[in-house]
This record gives sequence, structure tokens and C-alpha cells, in this order.
Amino acid sequence: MFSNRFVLIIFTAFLFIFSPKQHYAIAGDDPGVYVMEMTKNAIDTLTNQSTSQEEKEIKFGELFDKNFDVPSISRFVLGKYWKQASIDQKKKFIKSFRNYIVKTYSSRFNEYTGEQLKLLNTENESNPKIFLVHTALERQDAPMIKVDWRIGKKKDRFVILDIIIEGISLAITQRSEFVSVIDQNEGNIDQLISMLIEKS
Amino acid sequence: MGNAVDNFFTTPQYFVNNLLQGKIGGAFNTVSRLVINSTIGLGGFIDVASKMGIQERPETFGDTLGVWGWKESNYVQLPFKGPQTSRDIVGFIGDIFTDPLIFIGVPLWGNLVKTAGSAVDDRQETLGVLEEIEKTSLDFYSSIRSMYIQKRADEIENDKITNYQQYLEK
Repeated sequence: MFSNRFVLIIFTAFLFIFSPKQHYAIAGDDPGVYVMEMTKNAIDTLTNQSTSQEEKEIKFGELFDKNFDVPSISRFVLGKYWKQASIDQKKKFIKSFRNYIVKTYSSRFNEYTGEQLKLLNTENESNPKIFLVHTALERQDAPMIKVDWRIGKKKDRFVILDIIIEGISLAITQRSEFVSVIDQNEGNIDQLISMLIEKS
Repeated sequence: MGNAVDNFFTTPQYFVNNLLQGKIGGAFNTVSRLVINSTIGLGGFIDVASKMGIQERPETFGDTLGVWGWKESNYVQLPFKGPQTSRDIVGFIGDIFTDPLIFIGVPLWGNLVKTAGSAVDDRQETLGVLEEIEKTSLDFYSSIRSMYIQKRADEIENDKITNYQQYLEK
């Protein structure tokens, strides 16, 4: 009996020693777990039938502000024009861009029909504070959609920097569009801001 | 029905281009699909292979050119064929030579008609998505151009199915 227990203890000890290294032991410290929890929370809140569209928009706005690094994304999507913009323009742009995204995407959740997001793995980018979380959206009778999340670590919390769906980055797409709009308006950033306000 | 025709037209193209890109697994996969579907799948009418987990591994000559080093390419829109890169137009001409139509004596125009047909299919599939993008975007053309270029780069860079199998095994 004793020897059986002894073997078990030794075996368990070996398990701990030789199991693959867990870099992110705590849930709050793992960008992959963060993505899964955040999306679950978003789906629960935003697909609730009893919530009105207006309420959903407000809730989506809250989730967006809490989870997305809006200033960094804003700087990225303005591309070469960020440096040229005045402080006032930057402030106005961040605000109108945020409202545009919230307006555009909050209605998308109505199309949700129970697809399951599955966590695949997480890689560190060359910058140790930036992670790429790979997930797949599994659909019934249709091929899965790969969704990659670029996650940054800001002090004690994670923030979303970009979502890449089937290889298409939302941030890069948005930047191509915004830069093109400003180009067409001879470098006038205010024109883009007023278009964003109009759409939201 | 569409499935049987599709398989017949695309098998040589997928096989040759997988080989040209050094994707032996992809080439083997294409042959396996052909063998399974033409026997148990009743001559290709039922896609048994997919149900068995052997998914299609589509590769075009445009992909091959990308793998060989033609990474950056211009974006163009063609009637019927929709968004394209110059690389894929050259690739399309290459693909004609792996199309069974050419071997059964149908000249080039036959291929163009087939392309127009599949373009209508593609357009129907993506119409809802396109409408949504058109409604919300500030500059529809540049959004689509950007998405298309990113998507093609991703298809060439990453072999989706193998990548994801690797992830699942980790």
C-alpha cells in the first residue's frame, strides 16, 4: 500500500516537472483566455433578445472603450496623416472614429446564430508586450473562419489592437480607406472627420 | 451536379500547382480526393472525401507565382472576373493549360465562358457582404481593394488547413 502511494507521489511529481511549461498560469495573465472571456461577455450582452438596439449600442460602446486601445488604433488608421494633424484634429478624429465604429459594428451582432469561437494558440510577437491570439469561428455546415486577435498588454490589462479575419486586418483596411479619403480631399483631415460624423 | 463538374475541372489544376509549390501533401490530398470521390462518391457526384475530412486544397497558378516570389502585385478589376491582381491574371492564363477543357479540344473562349459562369456564382455568394460594406464604408473601392490584396497575400503566405492542423496538434 505504502509503495503504491509512493509511486503515485513520484509519478505526480514527475508530471509537474515534465509537463510543458505554462507561461501564463493565471487566467488574467493569459491573452488567449482574455479573448475568450471578452468575446463570451460581448456575445452574452449583445445577442440578448430583450435588449433594444439603442441599449445594445450603448453597451457595445462601453465594451469597445474598455477593451480596444482606441488612441493607438486611431494613430494607426490615420497613417501618414497622423503626424500632420493638429492636436484638436486628433481629438476630434478619435472621438468621431470611435462613434463610427460603435455605430457600424453594434448592429452586426444581430446576425449571430450561435457560432462557437475556439481558442487555438497564442504567439508572442517580437515586441514582448504584443501577442497574436489565434481563434477559429466554427460554423455549422460551413468552413470555419479564422480570426486572429492582436492583443497588447497595457500596465495590468490587455487591450485589442487589431482583429484579423481570414487574413484581413480591420486596422489595415480602415487605414487604406481613411488615407484614400484624405488623399482625395487634398490632405484635408476635417473632411474625413465630417464624413465619420455623418455616418454615425 | 455542380460538384462533379467542379471536381473534374479543378483536379489537374490543384494537383499541378500544389506540386509546383512544393506542397506534396496538397498534391497527394488532391489525388486522394479524386480516387475517393470517383469511386465511393459515384463518379464525383457526392463529395465523400470532404465528409471524411479530406478537404479541398485549392491552388492556382497565381498562388504558385506568389510562392515563387511575385509577392507585390497591382490591383485590377475586370468585368466578370471581379477583383484581381496582375499576378493572378498571368496565373489565369497558366491555369488554362491545366484545365481538362483544353485537352478535350475546347479552345480558349470555352474557358472564358466558364469563368463568367463561376463569376456569377461568386458574386451571388458575396452580395450580402458587399452590400454591408458598401453601406458602412466611406470609400467602398479602396476598402475592397485593401481587403482583396490582404486576402490574396494571406492565401499565398499561409496554407490555412495545414496551419490549423498544426495548431490543433500543439
